[in-house]
Amino acid sequence: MLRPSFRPFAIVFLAAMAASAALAQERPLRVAEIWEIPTLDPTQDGTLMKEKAMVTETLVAGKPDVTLAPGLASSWTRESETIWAFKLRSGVKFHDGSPLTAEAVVASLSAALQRGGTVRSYTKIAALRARDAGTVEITTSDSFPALPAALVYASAAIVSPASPKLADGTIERPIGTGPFKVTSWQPAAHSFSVERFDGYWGEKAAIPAVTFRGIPDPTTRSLELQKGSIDFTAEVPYGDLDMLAAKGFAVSRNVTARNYVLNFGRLTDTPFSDRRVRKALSLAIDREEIAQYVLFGMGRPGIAPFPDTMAFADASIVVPKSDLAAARKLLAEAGYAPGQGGAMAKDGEPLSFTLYTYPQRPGLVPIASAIQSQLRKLGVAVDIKVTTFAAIAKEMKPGDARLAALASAVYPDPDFYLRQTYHSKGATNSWGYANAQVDAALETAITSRDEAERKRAYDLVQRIVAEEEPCLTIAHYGVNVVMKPSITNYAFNPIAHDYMLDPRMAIEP
Amino acid sequence: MAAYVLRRLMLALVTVLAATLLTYVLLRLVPGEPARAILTRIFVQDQAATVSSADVARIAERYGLDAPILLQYGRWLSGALTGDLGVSIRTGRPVLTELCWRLSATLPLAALATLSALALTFASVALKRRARSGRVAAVIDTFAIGTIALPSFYLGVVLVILFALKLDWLPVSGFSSWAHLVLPVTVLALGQFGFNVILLDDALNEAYAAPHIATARAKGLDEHAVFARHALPNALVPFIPYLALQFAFLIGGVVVVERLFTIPGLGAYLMDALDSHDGPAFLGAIAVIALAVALANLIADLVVARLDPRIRLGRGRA
Repeated sequence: MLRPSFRPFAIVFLAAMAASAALAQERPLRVAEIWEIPTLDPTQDGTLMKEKAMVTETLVAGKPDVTLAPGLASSWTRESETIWAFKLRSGVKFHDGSPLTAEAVVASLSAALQRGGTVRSYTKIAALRARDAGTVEITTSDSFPALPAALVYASAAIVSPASPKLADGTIERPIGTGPFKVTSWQPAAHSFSVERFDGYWGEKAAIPAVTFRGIPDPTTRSLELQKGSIDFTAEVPYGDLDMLAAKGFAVSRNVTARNYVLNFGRLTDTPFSDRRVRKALSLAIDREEIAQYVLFGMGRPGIAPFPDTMAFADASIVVPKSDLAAARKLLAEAGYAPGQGGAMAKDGEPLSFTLYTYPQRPGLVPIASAIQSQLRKLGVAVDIKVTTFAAIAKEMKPGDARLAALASAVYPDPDFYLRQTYHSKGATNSWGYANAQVDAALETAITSRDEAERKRAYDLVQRIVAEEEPCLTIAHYGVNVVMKPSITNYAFNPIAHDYMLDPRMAIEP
Repeated sequence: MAAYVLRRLMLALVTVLAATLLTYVLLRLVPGEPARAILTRIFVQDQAATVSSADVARIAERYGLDAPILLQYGRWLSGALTGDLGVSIRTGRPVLTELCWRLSATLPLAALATLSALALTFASVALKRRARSGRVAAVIDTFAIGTIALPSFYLGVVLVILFALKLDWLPVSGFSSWAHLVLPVTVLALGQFGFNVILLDDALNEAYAAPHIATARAKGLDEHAVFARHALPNALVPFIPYLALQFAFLIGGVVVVERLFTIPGLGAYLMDALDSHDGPAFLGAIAVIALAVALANLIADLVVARLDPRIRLGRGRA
């Protein structure tokens, strides 16, 4: 028998239990986002609003095999070298009920170009115009066949001009067109909620709502999962994955569009200018061991610029097995001989370098250590230095190297990464790699309107660079996603920058 | 007295200004252009992203980063003196608003941690002295040393596993109820407790060794009176300034605990501002932390001055 003073409490409690039972099937999906959530502005955190919260959409959509699909634009035509017309999908509504018009798209993209960031340089948009209510005309600053792909870039998502803004122009609460709309936002607590948008033009979402809480610490995310206070998260500590799987969570290890790459300081007047030296180092690095034991399966061994999950990867390129004997032979051909203590040296100069890296991506420092111990077996001394990414550019000498995690498909087109990395005038090609055949193939591909010809040209570039190895691709980046087993219909989308949610996801009662 | 307080407040202001100027200059001297850092950390959110120099230049222009460092600081200062701490580059919101949000998490956390540590410290020291048994003292000393040796992130994870997962009494992380404060306050309090016990115990030993204690006992005062009137006030003279510094540290320096428990505190705010070169947010956070240090010291000095007639407000200052 309850004491009288407890009765009201008990009644409220039982009522709450009954209500929660009724709501069980309609409860929101609780997601732990892997970063803090300082803002919802899509031009700043485009992937949060587009890929995770599913609030915003882009004119062109990206498919899981990294090919293009119609998004808010149902079709597009390239009318001249620089002029494109994007026909808008009809019947699309913003979350405030207003229709998607060409004017709204122009206003949204213009604001994104103004806001800074990289939308302007990634898309090369020079001018925008609403040709009629349903057609947007885009002029690029030069011939740029990858424009539709560049428009998949999450920061180029379309938001209603009526989206509430802060004094400096930051979008406080984006009004998008996606299957979910933002319903609450607590910036002080780094959390927000979205609800199913019933006026969505496509297939309506299966879950009624999703709540997001920014939990930047991987250990905390793992603990929250075990507690049962969240349903879905990504990037928990690699060492926790087996334990979480044993506890019944659905654990997936996925490959995304990011590479662990070892970049040499310079390819001229350094030991790295000799292709045989680069090849020897590459052969001495055991990529299989790194992927399996250093990354706990979070990543895939790789030597080509793209993982074979992407449609534009040349799937014929195989990762060679690590081979110390072959590596020694190549070094001998290059004029190196074991000297004092087995250290490889040429003309009295030992082959050794400093490997710079930075701590923000969890795999980098452990991979650097693995490379250090693997190259020691070859007689190459590696000194590891961990600093910030910005400081590496200042400190690194031509004879040193850098290990970085580089995005290989910021948007779904091979040109961006191949050009910046391997073209003789590429933006990140500070090591001075120049191959006329690569340059020519990249030009053929970018100007061609024949998809098969483009594919052949990109395949050629990938085969050449996998052979010459101006930089060493070590592994393709892995992302883990962990969720309650009651969540169904989830498929990892490899074009995600971290992870992507799926509007078809459902929670089984 | 009022003049002393006023003088010290002016000094606090100078300290805050010097701290902000010095750290701002240091922030801008960190390798890598600030505009590039802002672009890659705030707008692209990938520090290894490829960005064009035109993108970098646009950011530099928009946030006035091309101006000489002192001019940039001067702009901030002239706003700050009128209460306008500027707008965060990362969020677009007024820095003052964000600092208030952060302090609403940090202040209760720091205050509760300091008070809990203090309660635990006094209880332990009292127990140690009352028991007069070597074993009790050894247990307390071992516990104190143990808490010093234990890193806060490790202790935090162990406590979460025990109290949030196994016993299911408390939430893991977040800051939406008092229950959320229990574990982080415990971790922070235990982090202070060890040093507190050692320091207070030593200070009491020293105080008891002074000749006037013998005098007090000789004239027939009971032990309570000896402790309360003669030993404790003297022992608190070195202890209180230390306590003040610890409290100030809790305001801005507990980023590990804030991260583990996902508490939106000032320490994490400072680290994020530093990381993304968010100048206004960084300066605002530094100003608050410097102010906390200066005020905590001032309060400690005033309390000590009341306790110790020798250093009372300049009189007797040899």
